[in-house]
Amino acid sequence: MVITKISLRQFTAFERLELVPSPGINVLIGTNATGKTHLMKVAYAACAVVKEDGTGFGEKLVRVFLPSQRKLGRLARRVQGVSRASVSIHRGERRLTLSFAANQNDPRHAETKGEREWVRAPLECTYIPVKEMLANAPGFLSLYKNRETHFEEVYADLLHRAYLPLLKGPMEETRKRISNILRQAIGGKVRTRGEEFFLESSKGSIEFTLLAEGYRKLALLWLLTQNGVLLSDKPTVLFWDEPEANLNPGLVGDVVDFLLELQRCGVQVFVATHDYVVLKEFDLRKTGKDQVVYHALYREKNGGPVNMETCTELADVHRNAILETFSRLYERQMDRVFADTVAAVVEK
Amino acid sequence: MNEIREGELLVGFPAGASARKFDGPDHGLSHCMKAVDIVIEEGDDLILLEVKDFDQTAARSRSAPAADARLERDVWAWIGKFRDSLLYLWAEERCGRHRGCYVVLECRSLDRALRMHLQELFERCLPAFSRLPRSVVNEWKRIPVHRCAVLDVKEWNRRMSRFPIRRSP
Repeated sequence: MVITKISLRQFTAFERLELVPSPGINVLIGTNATGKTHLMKVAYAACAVVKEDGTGFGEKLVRVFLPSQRKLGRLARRVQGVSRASVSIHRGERRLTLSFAANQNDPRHAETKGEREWVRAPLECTYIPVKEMLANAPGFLSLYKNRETHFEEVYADLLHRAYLPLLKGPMEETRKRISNILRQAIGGKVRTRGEEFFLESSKGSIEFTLLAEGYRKLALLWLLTQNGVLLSDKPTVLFWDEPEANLNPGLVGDVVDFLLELQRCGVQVFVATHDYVVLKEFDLRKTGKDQVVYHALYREKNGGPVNMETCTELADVHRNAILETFSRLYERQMDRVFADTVAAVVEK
Repeated sequence: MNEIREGELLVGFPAGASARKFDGPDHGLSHCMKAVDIVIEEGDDLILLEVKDFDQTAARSRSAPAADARLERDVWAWIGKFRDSLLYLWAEERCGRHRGCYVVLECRSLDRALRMHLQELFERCLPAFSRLPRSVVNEWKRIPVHRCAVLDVKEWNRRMSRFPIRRSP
């Protein structure tokens, strides 16, 4: 089962927040510093806790968020009087909870509940950060493993997934159909040579450093579809921070089609966006059976706690920071249209 | 205040102004021109008004404009109507001093981002005075369109309060 609830208490920007996600697509909107990325990272950290490597939820959280000096307590909400923070991620009956004091340094000493049960039913999860990573992949994993680097673990996690070899055997129809959406958009296939990624098309082989950054992201998704990370036999969750970054708006429709197809195959998707085109493409491309939910994060006052509004229809979202901006632009444009410029024109 | 009806919408106009339905057969050129819905004259002002009411009772089951391509086609259709109507009114020598071309577009699914896109297209392609190149402004003796806008009823009533629009099914 995928994520069914995220509860946060005094965690980073959140005083108290309960998000009940759609099992399909969850679109997070809100101005900067309303916690969209934090919300996705905390859920990702929980999903990425696995039995094999023995890393607990607290440690994973620190590696994903990278607070200064790796002190877990720095993830508690920084408000006078706050002494403890807690996060709970639910998957049906399973619940993974972490509770820690604001002065807690070592994540291993935080109070964790439900971890043993949680890791018995592993999830497949992927977090795609805003910054593209594949072009800088050669050497990164050994650097990350052997040296003290200040990179959030999402980058290393993503590369581990991208380097997985392709699945054996013939490709089933669903995977073929979904891959083709991306293949048509990028115009080729991705190949790995050593630790370097290349796009192979009829024009030849192009190394990722020379490839448009928007294409690199689509190529990454193609790779994750081909190697089974995104269409696994396990419950799968995809987190994608600002899919619009470096992507021409004309390609957003392909991305949204791809995400809707993933959702139709049972993948749970979280997308954080600042982009009108992403919102509108979801609104226009979803069909009656698609499960798309919009979560709008907002603060009533500057510096206050973050609140949330959840709607299944875009038109019903009242706290839509993106549309509010367009609304203000429209007002200003109308002000200009209706400014009495005509009176100043002396007709010849 | 007098009123003239277009579908479920009633357009008010003050005493001293006149309004006429312009998209019927009365103008005699239905075979070769498309006309805007309503023409209002008040002193030096000539207001050409096209009403697109996707929210009216009868239209609710029909799909409202959604994709950009459809909306852009609509803008070109409006532009044709306004240009034909302006030419006709010019031939009648009723082409007032200040000519405003307005589309009142009621459509719940059309947010302000898309409305702004329509406004940009409409202003640029009609074209409105503000979008004329300097070289053209210097040469032309008359300005065909002083102002054009795509508004919903609420915005129209805020900006054009002398001609209030209300819904009356």
